[in-house]
Amino acid sequence: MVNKNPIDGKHPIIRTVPLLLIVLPGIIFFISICLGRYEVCPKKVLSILTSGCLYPDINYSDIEEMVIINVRLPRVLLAMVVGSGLAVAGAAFQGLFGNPLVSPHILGVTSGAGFGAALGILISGHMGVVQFSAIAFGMTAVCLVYTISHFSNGSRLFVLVLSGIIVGALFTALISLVKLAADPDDKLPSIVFWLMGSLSGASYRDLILGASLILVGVIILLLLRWRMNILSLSEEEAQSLGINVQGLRLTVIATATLITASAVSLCGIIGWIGLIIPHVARMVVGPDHKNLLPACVPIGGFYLLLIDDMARAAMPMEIPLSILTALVGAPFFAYLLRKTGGGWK
Amino acid sequence: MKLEVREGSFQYGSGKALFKNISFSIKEGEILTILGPNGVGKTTLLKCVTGMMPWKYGKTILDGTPLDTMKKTSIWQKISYIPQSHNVVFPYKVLEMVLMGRAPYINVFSMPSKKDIRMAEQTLETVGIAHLAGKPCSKISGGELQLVLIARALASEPLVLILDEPESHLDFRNQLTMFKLLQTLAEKKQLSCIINTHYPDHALRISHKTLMLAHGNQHLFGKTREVINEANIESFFKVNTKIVTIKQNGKDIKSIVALSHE
Repeated sequence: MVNKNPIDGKHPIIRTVPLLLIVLPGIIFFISICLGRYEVCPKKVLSILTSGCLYPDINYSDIEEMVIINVRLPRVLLAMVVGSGLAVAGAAFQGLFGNPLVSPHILGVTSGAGFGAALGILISGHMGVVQFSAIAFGMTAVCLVYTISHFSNGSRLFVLVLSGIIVGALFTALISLVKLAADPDDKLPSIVFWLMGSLSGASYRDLILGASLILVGVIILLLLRWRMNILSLSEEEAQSLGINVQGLRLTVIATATLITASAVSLCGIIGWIGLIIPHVARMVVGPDHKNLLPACVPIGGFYLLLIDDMARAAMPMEIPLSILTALVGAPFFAYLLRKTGGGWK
Repeated sequence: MKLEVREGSFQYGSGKALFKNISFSIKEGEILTILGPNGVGKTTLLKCVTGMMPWKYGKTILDGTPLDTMKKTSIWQKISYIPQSHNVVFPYKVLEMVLMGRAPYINVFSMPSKKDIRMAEQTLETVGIAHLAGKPCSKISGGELQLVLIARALASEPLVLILDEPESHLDFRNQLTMFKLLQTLAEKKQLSCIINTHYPDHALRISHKTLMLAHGNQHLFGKTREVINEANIESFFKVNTKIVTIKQNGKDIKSIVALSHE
């Protein structure tokens, strides 16, 4: 007899988890907006955010309003969107390859998009050009990977990973070539810093263009989340469960690529999130993608937000995000591994 | 219900034929075993039967309809296939795993409904592993996992169940449990089963019909009792055997004893 439904989870701890996943990022969101060089007290922040509905008796200056609304708010929102997107894309890729060691960079998206951005900076330096070029080359890299993998009729996924390595190496070399050609006083530092990832200079224009692409991708993957379970089985099993394996795979790859390329186009290469967050989420809600993908949204957003807070508040100068995601992520990951023995085993 | 293969042939690329002009059929409630040495193409044959790989010539016909004219989802609502190797990467809970069997009925962008969950729970009870529902697939034994996979296959309410060497990795007792289950399913639910196996003994024990394959496009199809005899095993497996009969509680139990091989 099945008394308890292990899928809907009647256990009280499981019911509090979703609540926690909404409340916690909310708190961090508010703290992040209060945080920064230019001091604005939390009450003022609340007043500004609600355009005076809360604490109407508090007066704030135009500069304070500008700092909150035009500088911090877009940056915080962008951090959450990018973090969520990378985490969901990572979980999707891990499910697709049936391998928990995979990250969104596996198919060369990041190298391609990184090259696109570097090329954009070299040629024009205009943000629109850089973003467009990053997305275009990220997509090109994955198309190339997919084409190469179709030359072989061996195990598709294995060949796909190998093709990803090939194309990734190619674009990494091309990035070096662009760096070599760049003016060492002006363009080279901006390329190098850009590739290490940063959310500084986030604007509403970024949010509207890039973040909407990420949101669309996340929504598509969330809709497909139950099917991801089946896709994570062996190819034969997936086929025998009546799903269109090739079609679904292509959809997931295209969508996750769109998310990753858009993320790179907005804020450079940010490693680790797509690898670690799905693991953290799996430890919290279990491996079922029906719960896993939704859990990645708040956890990923929350994590990048925290990292970005450190990036802008820890030192007088901005620390590139990739350095922090690895510095914070690696020990944290090691701790989790020790504590749970991997969790996914 | 009747599943029929008519003059099926298959070859990889333009190579030599793996098998040629194979014909067989099974009705509801029947168990068909496919026997043959390693590398003879038993798994490939099953994949051709289900349409996962295309026949070079010939076709599979399900209730008078050729399989290649049917929609994929409607094929997999009628046929369930359990492949051989299954390594569980993500430790889904048993109920989640069985629920995946409902996929042919669930729209691409949809989640399983309450009804689907109920169906999955029912199949767990049919197979006798309801107590495992909440356990992760990584924490159960190989025998239990095989039962989970059978439950998953049954969750799509198939007419035909196809299993590729289901007894591999199972211990002596679990093999018997699984075969007993398949026999019960065939009898009570009028399910047709096609089973690949390495063991003529198992075929003799549970199946009504047998298809024997050997290298060089040899094949033989018929009633199990007629197909499995000492002469045929010698010619298909190159093993010298003696079939012995033991009387137990008035029932004849047959077993194949290997004597020698060249």
